[in-house]
Amino acid sequence: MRQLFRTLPILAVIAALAVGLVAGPASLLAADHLDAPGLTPPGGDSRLDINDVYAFQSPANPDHAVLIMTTNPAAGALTGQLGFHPDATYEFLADTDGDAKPDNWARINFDPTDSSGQQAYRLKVKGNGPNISGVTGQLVDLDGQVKVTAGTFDDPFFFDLVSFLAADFDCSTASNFFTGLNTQAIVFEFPRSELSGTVGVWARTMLGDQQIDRMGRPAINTVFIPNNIFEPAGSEPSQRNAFNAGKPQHDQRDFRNEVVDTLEIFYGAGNPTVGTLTDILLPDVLTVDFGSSAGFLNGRRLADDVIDAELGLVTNGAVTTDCVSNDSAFSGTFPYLAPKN
Amino acid sequence: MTLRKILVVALLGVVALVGPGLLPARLGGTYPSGDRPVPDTVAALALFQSRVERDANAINLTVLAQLYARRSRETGNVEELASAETAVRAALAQKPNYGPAMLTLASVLAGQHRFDEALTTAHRAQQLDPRLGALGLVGDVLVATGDYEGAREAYSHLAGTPGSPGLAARMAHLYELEGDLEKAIRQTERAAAAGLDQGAVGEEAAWFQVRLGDLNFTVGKFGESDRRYRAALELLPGYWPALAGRGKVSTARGDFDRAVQFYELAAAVVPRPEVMVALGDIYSINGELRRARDSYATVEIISQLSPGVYDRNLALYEADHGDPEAALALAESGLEERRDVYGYDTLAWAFYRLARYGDARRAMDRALSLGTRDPQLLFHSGAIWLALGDNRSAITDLEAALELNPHFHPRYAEEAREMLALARSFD
Repeated sequence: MRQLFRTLPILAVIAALAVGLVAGPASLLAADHLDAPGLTPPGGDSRLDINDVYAFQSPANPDHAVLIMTTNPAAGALTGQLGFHPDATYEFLADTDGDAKPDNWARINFDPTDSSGQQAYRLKVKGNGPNISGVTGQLVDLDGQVKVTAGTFDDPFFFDLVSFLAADFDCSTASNFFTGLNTQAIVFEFPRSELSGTVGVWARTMLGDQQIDRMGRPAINTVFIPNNIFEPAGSEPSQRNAFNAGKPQHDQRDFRNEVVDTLEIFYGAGNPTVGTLTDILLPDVLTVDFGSSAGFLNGRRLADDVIDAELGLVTNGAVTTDCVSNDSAFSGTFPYLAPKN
Repeated sequence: MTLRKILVVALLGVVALVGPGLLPARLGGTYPSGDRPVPDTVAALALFQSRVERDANAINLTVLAQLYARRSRETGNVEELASAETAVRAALAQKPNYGPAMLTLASVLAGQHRFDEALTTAHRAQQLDPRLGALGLVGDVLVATGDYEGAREAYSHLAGTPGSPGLAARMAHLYELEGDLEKAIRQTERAAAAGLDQGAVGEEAAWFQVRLGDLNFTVGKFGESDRRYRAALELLPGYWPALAGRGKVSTARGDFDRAVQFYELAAAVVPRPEVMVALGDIYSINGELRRARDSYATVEIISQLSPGVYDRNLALYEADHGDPEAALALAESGLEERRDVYGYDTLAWAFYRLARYGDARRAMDRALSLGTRDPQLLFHSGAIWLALGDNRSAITDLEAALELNPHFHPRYAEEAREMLALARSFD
């Protein structure tokens, strides 16, 4: 009878742990969208994985600012880890005085999924404001001044991931890998007077005291932090997890060399532009003036082709596009994201 | 009748026995329980099949392959691995240096028991991308083929992976093979808890519970064993090894009716040889000979449908119920690729059935060389000693088997008791 489980494919299963939990589907799509070093999604749970952060002036109301974070690659379709993590805190952070330390924050906590498949949540802003309560899949609108929603949406990201991994952007075969995939998202709209002038914003996920993932600008971790296509595994140790757990206020100290290394591949060693660009890219926050409706590098709107912008910057004009543009039907009104597929 | 017709008849025969209320309500469906949902692999497969139709790029194909592989583990159906292999080879045709695809291929080959190919492929994956932990799979294949030192060496390179449940489970398996069952259980408990902490769901989470079910069964802790199998079923309803595990526990407790129910549920998911032999054994004991025969017949059919995957099961089946010469041939050819503890055990038992006790002893000694404490091994060893006239050694091994688990098998535990009485009377 002991033989019963000799051919239980212990190998295939353990291997699957290698491929699944360790480097499985989630890591293919993992965050920013590839920031964990192929071991597990940050924190081992794809719900803690931040895909993208957006910050823009509301197209429906120029007095309003909009912050969006998308999480959980493919909305957990591959990992089975659906929705938002009930023990995590999802945070928007803002630096208003230019020192890359958070001066303002908004924190969202979710309850476990209930029998109807929804999660109740509470959003709390620093200061004396009240908790805002909601349920996933529904819009919260407080007198038209503050709006919140959380749930499953079409993933707004567009990128030719296949070509990126091949380090070969061929316009004739380019396609948006993220078409048809969903994501979780939190959309938070508020009077922009709360964050006036030029501010730096970013998002992070916390489990207790531990920061699991964080993101400001698109693709910083993916492109600059080893290991990546420029500094593949084996060339030097990975710092992806360190980056995910890091704080913008320490980015120059901790990661300046990595960004410089990558930029020098294209600009040449000693080129002063490298230093200038590095100082733009680090600390990893989205700098935005909500008083302007302009897009990236002023914040990030949903349809902004950040990949093209960053490709041109990083490669010194050698590559200027991944030949993929937005194919999602965004809305000009809250919550702006396209509905889930 | 063609093989396929026989299979259909056999399956219908089995499924017809399953009453309406016995099947889990939503086999493989998705329904959240608290924050531990069951992954909907079928839906994910559909999503990625349509993505591949739209754009058969290397990533979509690799993810599709991984989903087929996951489905195969969930359902026990090894044929899904063939679909996985097709998809991932197509991915590699486009991107020959894509590490995740290479590792996926290696794990698919291992699942199909193509161990030599799996090993080469896993090494290539490791070279392509050391982040992926391909050395873990390398180690697993080496364990399967009996190179335990090589496995340790491969696993040692993974030691830096913090808190990895996968690594802990691998070490637990080595402890188990070396006979330290208590340590294996503790380590697996830790691995299971860490996995759940890290959000493991579905089959990945359920698998750890099944390992604990198995380990506890080995040491005769039926209550804990059954609790673990039930926990596995909560994590993945219809998970066939957990259903079979509950059948095994029911058998050990003497509740044959319940055992049949569980085994039939497992067989309805997938009529794997382990399950069909167990069913056949219980039917035999109950005197339901026609059903026993049908169940046993399925073993040969299934084994032929997936050549190589079930040879070990088939060899033991032939030794116990069929043609010992066939058992020997299967055991010997199996040893060519897998010179592990259970490969030698299978060979030893085939020799035993052919009354070649000297050869049996030599093979059994190889099987026991790590010190594995498994009632099946100890029973086989005791029987061989008895046949050789070494009553003392027979008593030692038979007592050890029954002390671990006095109900390790519905038939052979009793045989072990009879042999023990005999050995004592001679001594």
